[in-house]
This record gives sequence, structure tokens and C-alpha cells, in this order.
Amino acid sequence: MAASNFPEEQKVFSSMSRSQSSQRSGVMNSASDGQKRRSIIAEDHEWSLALVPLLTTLCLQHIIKHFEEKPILHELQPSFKTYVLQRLPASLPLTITANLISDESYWKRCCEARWGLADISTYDNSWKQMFFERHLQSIIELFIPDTTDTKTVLDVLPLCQNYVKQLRVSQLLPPIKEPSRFDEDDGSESASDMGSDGPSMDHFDFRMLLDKLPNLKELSVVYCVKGCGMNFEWNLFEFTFRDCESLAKALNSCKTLQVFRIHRSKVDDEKCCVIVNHLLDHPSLQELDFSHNHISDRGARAIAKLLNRSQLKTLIVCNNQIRGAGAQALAHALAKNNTLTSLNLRLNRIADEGGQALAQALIKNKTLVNLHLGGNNMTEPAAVALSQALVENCALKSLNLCNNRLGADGGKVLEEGMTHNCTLVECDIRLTDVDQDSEYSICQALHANQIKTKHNHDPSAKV
Amino acid sequence: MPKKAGKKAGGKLAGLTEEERLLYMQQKAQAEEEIAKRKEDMLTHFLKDKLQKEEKNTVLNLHKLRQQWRAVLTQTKIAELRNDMSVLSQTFERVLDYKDNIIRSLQVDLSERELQSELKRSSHLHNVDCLLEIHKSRLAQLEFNFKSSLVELSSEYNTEREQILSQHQQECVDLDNVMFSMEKHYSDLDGEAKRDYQSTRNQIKKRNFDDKQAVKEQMDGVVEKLWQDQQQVLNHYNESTRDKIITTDDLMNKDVQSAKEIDSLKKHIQKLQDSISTFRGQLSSGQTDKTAEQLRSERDELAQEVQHFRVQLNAAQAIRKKHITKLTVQSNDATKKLQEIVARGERLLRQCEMCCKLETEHEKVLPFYKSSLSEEEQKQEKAKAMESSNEKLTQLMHDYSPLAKFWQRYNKVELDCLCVKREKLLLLQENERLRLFLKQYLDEVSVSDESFRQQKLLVVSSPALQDTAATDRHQQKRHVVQEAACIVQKQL
Repeated sequence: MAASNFPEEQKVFSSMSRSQSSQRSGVMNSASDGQKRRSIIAEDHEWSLALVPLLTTLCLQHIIKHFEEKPILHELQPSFKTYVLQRLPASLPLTITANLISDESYWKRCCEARWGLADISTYDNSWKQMFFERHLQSIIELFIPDTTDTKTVLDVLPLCQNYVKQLRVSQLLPPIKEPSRFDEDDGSESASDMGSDGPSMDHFDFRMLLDKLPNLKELSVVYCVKGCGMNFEWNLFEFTFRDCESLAKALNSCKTLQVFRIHRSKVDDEKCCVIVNHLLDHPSLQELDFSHNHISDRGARAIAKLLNRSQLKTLIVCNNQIRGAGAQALAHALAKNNTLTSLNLRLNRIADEGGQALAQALIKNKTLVNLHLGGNNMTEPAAVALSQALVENCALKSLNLCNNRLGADGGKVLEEGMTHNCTLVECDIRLTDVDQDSEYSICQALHANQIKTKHNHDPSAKV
Repeated sequence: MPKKAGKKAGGKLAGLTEEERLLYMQQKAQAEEEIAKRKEDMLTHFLKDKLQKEEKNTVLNLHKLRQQWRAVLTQTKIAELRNDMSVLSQTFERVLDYKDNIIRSLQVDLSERELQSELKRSSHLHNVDCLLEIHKSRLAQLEFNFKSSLVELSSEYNTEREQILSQHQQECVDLDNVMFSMEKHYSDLDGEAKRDYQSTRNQIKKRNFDDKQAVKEQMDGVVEKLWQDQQQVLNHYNESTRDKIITTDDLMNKDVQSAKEIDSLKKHIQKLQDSISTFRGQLSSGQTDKTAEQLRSERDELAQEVQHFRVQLNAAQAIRKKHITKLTVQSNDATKKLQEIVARGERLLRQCEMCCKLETEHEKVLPFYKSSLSEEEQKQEKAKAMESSNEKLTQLMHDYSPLAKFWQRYNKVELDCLCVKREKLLLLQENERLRLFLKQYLDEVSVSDESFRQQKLLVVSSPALQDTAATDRHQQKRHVVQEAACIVQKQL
């Protein structure tokens, strides 16, 4: 009887212990839930949800807040410097940040805040350079003569001069016309004062700028207005003689310039002569671009004169009005030249006369690598001359003759010339009415030259 | 012909009459016409003259009127024309000015539009050139990426290929080393096994030779005994069949005599038939009835006699045939029994030879061994044998005493068989275990890279396994031999 009673007592004891443990766990759960939801503890008056930040963090935040009055950056440790740079606002004035901050992430934030997404590869992969170049560009593009103060430009130059290497101006604003009307009225009243009155400059004067940029290498200028809308007037698209003179003098004063581009600016022969005369004997100019202008034979003659008195490697005169005489002048200069490697005469009017002259020059020239003669109204006689030039020449690698009416006979002549050439790798003869057989033969010759060139570049490939 | 001539004559007459009429009519008409013409001519002439006069008068009057009207109209018309000319000149001047202005404005518009189109075209070309530059740079970038990735992949695969080749060569060298070591190991084992085989073979050969000699001596006695039994049986058979042979010879002689007798009888019958035919011929030629009746009676007698002889002959043949069949059956049975006895003897001899080969040295020595019992035990056994009251049992024991040696050998062999079966089971188990090891080894050999160390471990462990197996087998062999000897001793 005693043995049978013992397990019953054990069961009762175990059930009691289980109930006690469950009660305890319930109490713990309710307490923790209360602590999580509570926002005030009655016993502790100073308790609050917010945590107190570190003193270091408070100091750094104070530095960021008052950075404009007292910029402190280089005295900080690297981790703290990073913390500050990540939180500096992008609206700080450039007078403080230009020469103080060299961190690229800060300048990246500034660029994105101001211009959105951008391609950094054209700015030497430097956000700071991109920022300052675009900043200066916007100042120049929004400059209005006799309205905008020149100090706004001169004050920025000390900040930008070390970081600007390329300057691509896509518009230049003319002076406002309404005051000039009143001036004209006054002029009509008194004829003697008419000459002295008028705007001091027709567009932005580059003379105040180029001599103060020691690292400038590339300058691209367009004398027109973008987005004029219903306010279209022809004076918005005028490149005046005074503008030309000031630009030419500015170019002459900048001795580090390597690339100069002026296109879509209605540069005619006279203005071209002025610019070229000031570019003679320039020490570092290598690329000159006069595309989409109104240059004709006289301007071409001036450019031909420049070819042999400079270090030019690339000349682009596409979409102008150069005719046979101008092409002859260029050819005459090219025959004596030994620096030029690329010549672009696309969309001119040199015709057969100019084509033959250039072909004669190619026989003597040993340095030209790239020649573009597309859209020049050349026909079979030019093709014959070019074929003879291809036989003699051993430097040319790329020739473009598209949109010329060479015809089937011209194609056959070119084919014969190509069979004796061993350097030409590209030859564009689209839309030239060349026969398909000639086209195929020329392709085969080009392919053979390409393979030969590749083997010369990679001697190990032969094995 | 006369008809035609008649028609022609008729035509001429009619024609003449008609012609005259016509001529007459014509003459009348001409006369009338001439008259009318004359009248008309006179009238016309008169009218013409009158008309000419009237015309002259009219022209003159008309000229007079015109001159007067012309003077009047000229004055009025001059005034009107002057007014119109002044108005028209003003109008034309105004229109001309208007059109000149239009042309001038159109020229201005045209020049402006040309400038604008040129401006737009240059802008468009500039934009297109920019896009082309972007496209070319992108293509150049893609080509550069393609070439660089191609070079990278080719270099990567070349390095991988060189690595694989070097690894392959190393593995070949390792495998050659492993094969060399294994070949050496197995050649050692093979040599050892061959030496063991040679020694066991020599032992077995000697044992076999001794056993063969013993069995040969034993079986010579058995063969001699069987030969004697065969001779006895043969003599018994000859004696029992002598009488039957004699009777057979007599029956054969009788058969010959009966055949001769039959032949003579056949000849006689033939002669009788010939005589019958001659007699019939004579009868047919004209013999008397008496001679015929006499010949008939003679013929009937001969026929009865012939039939009687034939019946006797058939009975004698039947009796002799039965005797011959009995003799052949008995002789066949006798030959079969003799052949069975000979086959049994040959089988016994062959089994003896096989048993001689399989005997061991101990078994070869066994015939010389008299008894494992001690002298006291032998005496006790003899006493028990003498004490037995039953004479038949003692007689049987005395008769079967030569078989004691046989039973000893039989019991020994039975025990050996049992021991050999037990050993067979053990060897089968060992074989199964070795097969498992071999399977593991072959599985691991196929997966060579990962389990190379394990392979070495197997190679290292396998001779240990073989050594242990060899030792176990050796111990088992000894144990088996001892057990058999003990059991035999205990039974004896």
C-alpha cells in the first residue's frame, strides 16, 4: 500500500512545480512588454527615449554648422575629417572651399546637386575639375555685356585658375538692345555723339580671361544663343569684327593652348585672316577646328600659310565654302608640311581641281594619316589622281571619299591603285556610284592591309 | 446558130428606131435651150448694166457719209481715250509698285530663310558629328573590352592547360611509382607462393608414390581373389551347360538329316508330278478308263503319303525351333552377367588408383599399424569374444575379421572429410572478406585525386591483412590435422 501511494505523490509535486514556472514566465513577459511600450517612467524624472550623443560628435556637428565662419578641416584626424566632409553642405561659398577641400566626394555632391548626373570621363576623371570648368563656363555663357559686372568673372578666376584645363563655351549672349535704341535716338538728334556711344563690347571679351588661366589646354567657342525661342533676332547670331579682334588677341596671349575650336559662328574670310594672323608662330597649338563656318578661298589661303608656321597636327575645315583655288593653296602647303596628320575638308566645294591638287600633294607628303574629302563634288579625274597618289604614298591610313560621284570608271581606277598600296586600312566609298566588283576588290585589298598591319603590331601573333 | 442570127437582126431594128427618137429629142431640147439662153443673156446683160450704175452711186454716197461721220466720231473718241489712258496709267503704276514691293520682301525673306536653314543645317551637322563621335568612342570601347577579355580568357585557359598538363605528368609519375612498388610486392608474394607450392608439391608427390605402392600391393590380392572367383563361376557354368550343348549338337545333326530328307522328298514329288503330267497326256491321247482309274487310285495314294510326310516334317521343325530359342536366351543371360562382373571389377580398380593418389602418408603407414589398443585391452577383447555364448555370432566375427582393416581406413577417411568441409567454410568466409577489401581498393583507385593518401593506406595495410590471413590459415591447417588424429585415437 505504501509503494503504490508514492508515485501519485510524485505526480502531484511535478504538476505544482510546472504551474509555478509558468506563472513566473508570464510575469517576466508582461514586465518586458511594459518597458518597451512605455515613454515615461514615474520613478525617474530625467529618463527619456533619446540617447545622449558623444561629445566628439557634438563638436564635429558644431564645426559643420559654423564652417563658414571658421573653417576647420586639416587640423582634424582622418576619420573625423571624413565625417565632416560627408556632411558639409554643398551651398558653401567657393571662396572658402575652392582651395581648402580637395576631397572628390564633396565635389561630386556639389556637381550632382547643381547639374545632376554627368559624364566625368571628359573632364580627366576629376569631379573638382568638372565643377570649376562648368562653373566658369556657366558664368561666361550667362555674361551680358554692359549689364553683368566684370567683377563677377574676375573674382572667380583666382579660385578656378588652377583647376581649369578645358573650356567649352556653347553660347555667348549679346548686349541688350533697348538701351542701344535710345542711344540711336540720341544719335539721330546729335550726329557728332553717335560714334562714341554704343556698347563697349559686342560679346564676352576673352582677353580678360585667357591670360589668367595658366593650365588651359582646350578652348571651344560658339558665337550664338541657345534657346532664344520667340525672341529670335539675327543679331543674336552675329560674330562681329570687334569680337574677332578681341578673340584673336586673347588667343595670342594664351601660350599653353593646344586645341582651339570655333564653329557655327559665321567666320568668313576676313575674320579667318585676322584669327590666323594672330595664331602664326604659336608655340603649342596642335588642333584647329573651323567647321560649320563661311570660309572660302582667301581664308583657306591664310590657313595654308598657317600650316607651315605652326605645330598643327589636326586641321578641321568641314562644312565651309572652300573651292578649287583654296584647295590648291592647302595642297601647296601640305606638300611642304611634315607635322600634319589629319585633314578634314568634308562638305566643301573643291571639285576635281582641288582633288587633283591634293593628290599631287599626297605624293610628296610623308606624314598625313587621315584625309576626309567626303561631299566635295569630285568625279573621275580626281579619282585617277588619287589612285596615282595611293600608289606612291606610304603613310596614309584612312581615306574618306563618300558622296562624290566617282562613277564605275573612277572605282576601277581606285581599285587598280589600291592593289599597289600597302598602308591604307580604311577607305570609305559609300554613295559614289562605284561598281560592286570594284567595291569588293577594294574591300579585299583593305582587309589584306589590315592583316599586315596587325601582324606588324603583334610580332608574336605570327608564331 | 440560126437563132443567134435572128436575135441580132431584131436588136439592130430596135436600136435604129430608138436612136432616131433620141436624136430627134436631142435636137428639140437643144433648140429650146438655145432660145432660153438667148433670152437669159439679154436679161442678165440688162441687169448687170443697171447694177453697175447703182453700185457706182452707192459707193460715192457711202464715201460722202463716212467722211462726215468720221469727223464727228473722231472728236468724241479722242476725248474718251485720253481719259482712259490717264486712269490706266495710274492703275498700272500702282500695281507695278505693289509687285515690286512684294518681290523685294520675298527676296528679303528668302535670304533670311537661307541664313536660317544654313544655321540649322550647321547645328544639325554639329549634333550629328557629336553623336557619331559618341558612337565611335562607344564602339572603340566595346572593341577594346572584347579584345582585352579575349586576351584574358586565352591567357587564363593557357595557364589552366599548362597546369593540367603538369598535373597529368605528375600523376603519371606517381602512378608509375605505385605500379612499380606493387609489382615488386606481388612478385615477392608470387615467389614465396611458388616456393611453397614446390615444397608442397614434392611432399604430395612422395606421399602419393608411397600410397600408390601400398594400394597396388593390396589391390593385387583383391584382383587375384576376384580372378579365382571368376574361374570357379566359369567352370560351374561349363559343367551346367555341357549336357545342354550335347543335346544341341544332336538336335542340329537331326536338323541336317531332316533337311536332306526333305530335299529328296521334294525331288520325288517333282518326279511324280512329271509322271502325272505324262500320264494325263497319254490319257488325253486316247487311253482307256481302266488305266485312268488305276492311275487315279495310285495318284491318291501318293498324295496321301506326301501329306503325311509333310505333317511330320512341320512338327519336327517346330520342336527344334523351340529348343534353339531357349539355348540362345540362356547364353545371352550368361554373357550379360559376366560382363557386369567384369565392369564392376574395372570400376573397383579405377577407384583404387584414385584413392591411392589421394592417400596421405599417415594413411599409407596405416596397414602396418596393428592396433592402437594396449596389450591388456587386447586380452580383454579376446576374453569377451571367447565368453560369448552364441556360436553363430562368433562364427560371423571370425568370418568378418579381415574387414577390420577396411573399417579402420573408412572411418579415418570419413573423419578427414568432415574436417575438410569445416576448413572449406572458413576459407569461403576469408575469401568473402578479401573480396570486400579488393572492392574497396578498386573503388578508391578510380577516384585517384582525393583518395591518394587512403590508397597509400590501403597499400600499407594490405600486406598486414595478407600476413594475418596466411597465419590464420596455417594455424587452422595444423589444428585440423591434430583434431583428426586425436579423434581417430579416441575411437580406436
